[in-house]
Amino acid sequence: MRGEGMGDRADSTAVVEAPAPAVVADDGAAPRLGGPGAGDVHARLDRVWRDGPGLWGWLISVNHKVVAKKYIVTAFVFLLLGGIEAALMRAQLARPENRLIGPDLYNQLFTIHGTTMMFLFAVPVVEAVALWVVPLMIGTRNVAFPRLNSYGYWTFLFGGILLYVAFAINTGPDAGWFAYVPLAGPEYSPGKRVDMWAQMITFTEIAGIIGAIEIIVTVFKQRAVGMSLNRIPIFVWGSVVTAFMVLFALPVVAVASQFLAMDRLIGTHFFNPAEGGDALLWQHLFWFFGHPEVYIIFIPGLGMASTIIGVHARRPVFGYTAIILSMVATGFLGFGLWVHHMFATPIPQLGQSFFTAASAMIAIPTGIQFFCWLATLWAGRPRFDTPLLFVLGFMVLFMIGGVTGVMLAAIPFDLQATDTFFVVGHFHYVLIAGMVFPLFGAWYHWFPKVTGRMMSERLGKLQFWLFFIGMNVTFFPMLLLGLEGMPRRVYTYLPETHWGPLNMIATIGAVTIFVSVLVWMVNVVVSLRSGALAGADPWGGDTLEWATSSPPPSYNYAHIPIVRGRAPLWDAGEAVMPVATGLREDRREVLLTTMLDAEPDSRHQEPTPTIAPLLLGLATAVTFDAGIFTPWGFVVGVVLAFPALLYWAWPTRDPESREIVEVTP
Amino acid sequence: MTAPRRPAAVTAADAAAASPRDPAAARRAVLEGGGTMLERPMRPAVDVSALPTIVFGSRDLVWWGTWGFMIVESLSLAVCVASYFYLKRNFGNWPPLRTPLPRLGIPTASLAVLLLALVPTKLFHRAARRRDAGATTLWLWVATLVTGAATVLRVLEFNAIGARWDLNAYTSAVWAIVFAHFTLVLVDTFETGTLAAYFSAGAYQEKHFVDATNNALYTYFMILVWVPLYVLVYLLPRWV
Repeated sequence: MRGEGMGDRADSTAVVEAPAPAVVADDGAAPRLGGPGAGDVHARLDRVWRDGPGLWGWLISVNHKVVAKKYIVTAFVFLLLGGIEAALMRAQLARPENRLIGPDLYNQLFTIHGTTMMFLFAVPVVEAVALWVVPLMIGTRNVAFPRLNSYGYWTFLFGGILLYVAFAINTGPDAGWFAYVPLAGPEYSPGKRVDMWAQMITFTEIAGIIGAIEIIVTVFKQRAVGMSLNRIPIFVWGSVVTAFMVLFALPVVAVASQFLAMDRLIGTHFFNPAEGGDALLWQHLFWFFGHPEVYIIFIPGLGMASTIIGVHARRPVFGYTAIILSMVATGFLGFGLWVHHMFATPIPQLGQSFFTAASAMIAIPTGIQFFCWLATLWAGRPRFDTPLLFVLGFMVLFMIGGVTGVMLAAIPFDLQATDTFFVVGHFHYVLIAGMVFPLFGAWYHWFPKVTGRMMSERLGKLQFWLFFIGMNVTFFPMLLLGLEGMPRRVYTYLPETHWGPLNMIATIGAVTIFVSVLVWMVNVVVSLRSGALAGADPWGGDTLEWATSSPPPSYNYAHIPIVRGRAPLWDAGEAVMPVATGLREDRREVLLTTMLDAEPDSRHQEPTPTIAPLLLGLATAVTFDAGIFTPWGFVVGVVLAFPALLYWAWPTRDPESREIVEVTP
Repeated sequence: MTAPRRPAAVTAADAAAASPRDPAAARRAVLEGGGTMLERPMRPAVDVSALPTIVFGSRDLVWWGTWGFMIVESLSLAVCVASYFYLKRNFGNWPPLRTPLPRLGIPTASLAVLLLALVPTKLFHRAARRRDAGATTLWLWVATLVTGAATVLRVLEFNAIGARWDLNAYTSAVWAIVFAHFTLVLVDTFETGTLAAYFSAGAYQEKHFVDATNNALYTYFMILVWVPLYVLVYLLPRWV
């Protein structure tokens, strides 16, 4: 059969009109798949999906698991770097009038610490975990745009390298992670330090936005058959809410940082009051991104917590709908809070009251989730493995972060505490408890799936307790120091302030955290080499990723699972899993399903590995790095990106494509 | 939901991995992935082999990706516009004193050319939807030429603003809006031109018809989003 209007091109491409997107349902006594004799399918799929060997194969890979693993490892390297910076600052502050680190280096340290943790660790790592787990959880073979995904990683990596090369040559940014103008403007920050920051933002925001689009489209269109919206796993819902927040928040800071870079490089006046610019415009734009950012980091933590609690309490999470709606509500409310970072600026009082109310209100959806988790634990049979310990630690510590947050939402209190260590203590309780604790929980939870080996429980519990204790010893004294009036971002203080002892305690806490992370690293190395073999489903999990082997094969699933409930591995109750067959095994094909009910809709061919994303990433890096020094960087970028894009999209002939075309309506 | 029933079956992979006979081989197989039988036993329930592989509109993945990037670009433009109004509050006059009004000639011509590009875009959109290679190629080229002309006019348009970006906050904001949209015109022209070249060279595949329709979607967005921005940049200062 030939399609219409194909002319002479139809010779190499057999095209048929699809009769109708009907599927053959065969619930009867169909032949069993799997078991002995199924090896052929795996061999065929593996030939099509496997990456090439060696370094080259790794560089050009577009497999979501490979790319996400690069992302996760890189983000954890940045976590360690950020941690070392924190340790250096704590060492300097351990006693009054310490001379270990001078003011200039100290300014760079706190700026790069904050920038690293927010832009190079937190956002990338939560997206990376989603990029690894989500396709497996929803039963598909890869993310929606695999080459774009790989490009996102390279952009992120080059942004991080830029920041640290700058730091290494004493050009590290030093105006705070939020780069307030006029301090960060051309007049008070000459040289290139702030430009390095501004351009690093552009890199990481591009990567973040790409990750978000990957997650949204993959979840909307590639879910397993039957995984309707009300059956999507909670972690996946959390990732989607996060991705939408990224989509709406990150462009704002990307544009704002370009404004800042232009003010500094070509003399625009966005933030220059002398020519009608406005310093507060920067604060509005930055915090319109900066506050949602907190929830971009925190909502995946909520998703991880719900997932871990469900599996380790060994019962379905109580209040699925309430939890999902709470996350969505948090996503919306998160955009209505940014002005609470600006209570100390001349904002109209009515506006201040509004933002106070909104800031207090956001405690409600989080509270709902806490009660759902408590109910789950109460009614379940919790098994206190390391992942669950980290989640319980999160619940306890986040309470302190949340309560201090509600305190800061009150303007009279905020005006007293702003720019003191109280704020530092508060947001570390929020971010470390709300994000790093669930992340470590997720690490222990999914490590067996990623590597095929269990982490050591003994070392894991040791790490947890060191971290839990160290965290409180570090940050609780900061709350007290803040109430005593110790300001943030000072490199030293006088003995007469009597802040020395509390600071010493905080430093001891930081050492404890450091030791805890060392224990974790030892655990990772030891477990990778000789951990117990995990098998497909070591925890008795409920979601699809536990149905495939550990580590999963290159194509994730030999046949696409069919889902009939929220916990497919528990609900089914059948040892034999119903699957959809008929995807081609001679090319990379994924099944697309409808957005609401996930009914089978079409088959989609995925692209093969290519070096193009790395080339385009390099072109991007040259462009942005040149853009720090000359506005002609833009032109350079256009010239370099053109061939890279062309190479990326170069059509490859596929003699046996045998496409089936949707009937024209 | 009732209490979960734990899966009883141990998978073949587990069995192989736990096999005491050759633990090293089993471990290697598990760690390399794909070497052993993977999932629990499966039963085919749905056959998807008859489903189409070429679909249009919201059934296609790239359509969703295009919307994602349109959202991001709309937001970027919205930030420029919000900044424009925020900065306007700092001035008694708009444009500020000793700052010329932007000229109307070339910007209006460039707007007209952009609007004109809607016609060939709609035509290649329809042709691609019919999978009519000849018409798609023709109208892709026409659309490329028209948006290409708009690109050239846009370069000249920067002159029409009447002052450099570094004169004051007003000119900075205006340049930002015009330049931000310029990048969209550039991207769209490049994309349409590349597709046109594919089709001309006979290098296209079925999926490129879908790409053409998604390209049309982006072109509509690029053109229509400029209409309010044109009003903002060129007309608003004349009215206030």
